Amino acid sequence: MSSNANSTTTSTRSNEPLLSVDGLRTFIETEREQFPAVDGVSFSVDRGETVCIVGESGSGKSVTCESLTGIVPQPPARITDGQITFDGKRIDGASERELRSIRGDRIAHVFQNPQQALDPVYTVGDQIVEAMTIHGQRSGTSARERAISLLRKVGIPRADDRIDEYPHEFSGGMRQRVAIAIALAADPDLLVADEPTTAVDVTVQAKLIELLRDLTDDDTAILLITHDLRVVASLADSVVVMYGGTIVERGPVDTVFSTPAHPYTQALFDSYDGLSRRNDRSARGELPSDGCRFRAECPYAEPACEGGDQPDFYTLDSDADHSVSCVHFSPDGDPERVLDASTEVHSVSEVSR
Amino acid sequence: MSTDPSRHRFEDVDWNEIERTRSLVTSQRLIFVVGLVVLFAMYTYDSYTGLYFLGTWEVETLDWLVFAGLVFIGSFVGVPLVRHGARTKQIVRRIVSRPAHAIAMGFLSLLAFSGIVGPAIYGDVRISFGNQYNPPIGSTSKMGWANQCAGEVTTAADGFTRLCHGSMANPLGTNHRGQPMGYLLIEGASVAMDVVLFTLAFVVPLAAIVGIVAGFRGGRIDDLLMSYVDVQLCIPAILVFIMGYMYWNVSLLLLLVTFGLLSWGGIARIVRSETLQRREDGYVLVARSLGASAPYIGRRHIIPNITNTLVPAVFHLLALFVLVEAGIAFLGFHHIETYSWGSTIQEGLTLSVSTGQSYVDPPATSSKLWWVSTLPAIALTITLVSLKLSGDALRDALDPRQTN
Repeated sequence: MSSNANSTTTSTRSNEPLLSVDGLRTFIETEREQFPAVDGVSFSVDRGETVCIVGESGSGKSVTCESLTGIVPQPPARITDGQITFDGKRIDGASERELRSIRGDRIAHVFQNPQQALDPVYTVGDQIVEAMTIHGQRSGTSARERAISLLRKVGIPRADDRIDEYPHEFSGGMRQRVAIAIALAADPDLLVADEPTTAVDVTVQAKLIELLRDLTDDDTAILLITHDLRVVASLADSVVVMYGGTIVERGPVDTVFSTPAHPYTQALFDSYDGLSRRNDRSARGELPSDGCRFRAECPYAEPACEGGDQPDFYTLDSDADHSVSCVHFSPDGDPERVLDASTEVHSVSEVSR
Repeated sequence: MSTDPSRHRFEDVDWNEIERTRSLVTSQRLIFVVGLVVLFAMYTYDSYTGLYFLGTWEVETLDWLVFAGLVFIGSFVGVPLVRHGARTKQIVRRIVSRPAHAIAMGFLSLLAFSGIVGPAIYGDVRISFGNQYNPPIGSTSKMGWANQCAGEVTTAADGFTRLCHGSMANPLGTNHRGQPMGYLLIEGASVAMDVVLFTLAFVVPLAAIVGIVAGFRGGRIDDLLMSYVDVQLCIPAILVFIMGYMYWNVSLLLLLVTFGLLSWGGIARIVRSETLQRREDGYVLVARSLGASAPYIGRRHIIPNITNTLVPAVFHLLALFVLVEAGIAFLGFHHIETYSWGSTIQEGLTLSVSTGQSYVDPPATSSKLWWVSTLPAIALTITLVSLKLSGDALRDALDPRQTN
């Protein structure tokens, strides 16, 4: 079942994607049990594209991204299954040595907490230069010059003075900018940003989004994790919605915002509005380990949702790139049951105001 | 402090010098290997020809080991200090800004200089019992009938007792063998430096590596290493030393090897627990996401961030070993020609054993010949205090967040 779920992914882009993930599974093992934090996730990122992964805490967004280059701590995590193809080359199950040559150089990460991302005993300049020297790209004066220009690029004033300062002399937002500069230092093809705006205050968030938007104009592809729909609306080319370790919906940002198809996506947008149309989202019980993971909370749940894997992806009639993992969108189902309820139509401009 | 030291600019950093991690040949490793090769050549030359390199100083096995330790410390601590001159200057400035710390570090530098270079300059001082118990400058002592005095000799009020006055010939006086106290103090400093350098070069790296590997790798390796440390902590080093003392030639090397190889468990445990905390820090994850290898992260990100705990612990261990060596020498378990401060203190306190009967008349009490035991005791005390203070000084100076 899951195999043809993957095959239903259709891409109108002719060239192959920069990154494609197919059926990724990552388990978290504790002393007593193991549970799948990521349970069969498939998506792809094209060159220069910005993909946002949205979903609530614990939906497996971060583990997905950290599984790409294997930086998720193993143990407790264990990547058991799935194909990861980067730039035409399989990198799942690659040796630590191969993965190290990809990390930073080809795929770089920015993490959530800027307070911790910088080593307190080195100047920020040292740390940006370090990112270049690890891959032997450049060193010496040229590395320092590039570090200064990167600091300017991420919007740090007086960059040639501040390069010799220590992280504790920077504010939280500035540190996150430095962290982005470090990630960009080795000129990666893909920047994986894990909630880069979550741990900073609102005004700084806006500036960081501005910065990320500038970066999206470059040819660097960005995979952005967030639960802030405002960020999604202003940055994303396409959206991946995750719930309970699985992807429930994916598609171009415009159509996902205008016609959120999966009941979870609708609930997510409602919660953002604060104007929930439905009060019938049932209290969250145990997360089902099979079938549609959302069915315990879904107002449209029916017996067909139970058992097996997360339902196959079905494309919407309105947009061939927009697909949703819900039985109601299967050829036998009735999409109108779910879509009709969503009377309110969102638009990107409305959310990103 | 009117200026904020952490805001100093480092324009003069030579960024060309920042090493590329991928290359196997770094200047540190190069200097280390060349140093060891030169040392080995000198050792071979020395053991085949038996010629002296410096004066009449006989280089022993322990000295060779300490030289190797010096090469190690010089290449892996000294070279980075020289290369990152600006950072070094900043560290020195911070140490100097606190008088107590500056004095402690100054005393340790003096100790290191006299301990390493002193014996080579002094050479072997001949024992001359005739010159025994010459007092320090500004002090007098009663002379026996055959006693010689380097300074002025006067007759006491009773018209019979001759008094020896201190002189520039032996400014700190002499002991019961007629050896100048200055020589004994420098020999003691040399022994203390041997202890410190041996510990720094062999014991501390071992402890740090075991601790970091255990903390960073975790799992079975951690269990294995830490259970070994537990077993080792159960073996009393002094027992092993005394057994060695019974069966082999007693030497300072035996003491250092038994105590050094059995007493690093505590440091390893501290390093491990700190590593466990640090490895969860964000910058370790960032370094991993940049493609850094585990040894690189341990060296570049873990160790500099645990100096807060590691440096004072190391200096505490150094002070402890210096004290243990002095204590064991005080008890008499030392090589007869190793003039440790501990053995000199003991000789000064138990004059009934060490006094040549014919020379001193009437038998002197130790309080009359105070300088023999007091001077090394003062040297030992200042050394211990300096070691502890220097640990704190380095900890403060190495942390860029401290703005004193």
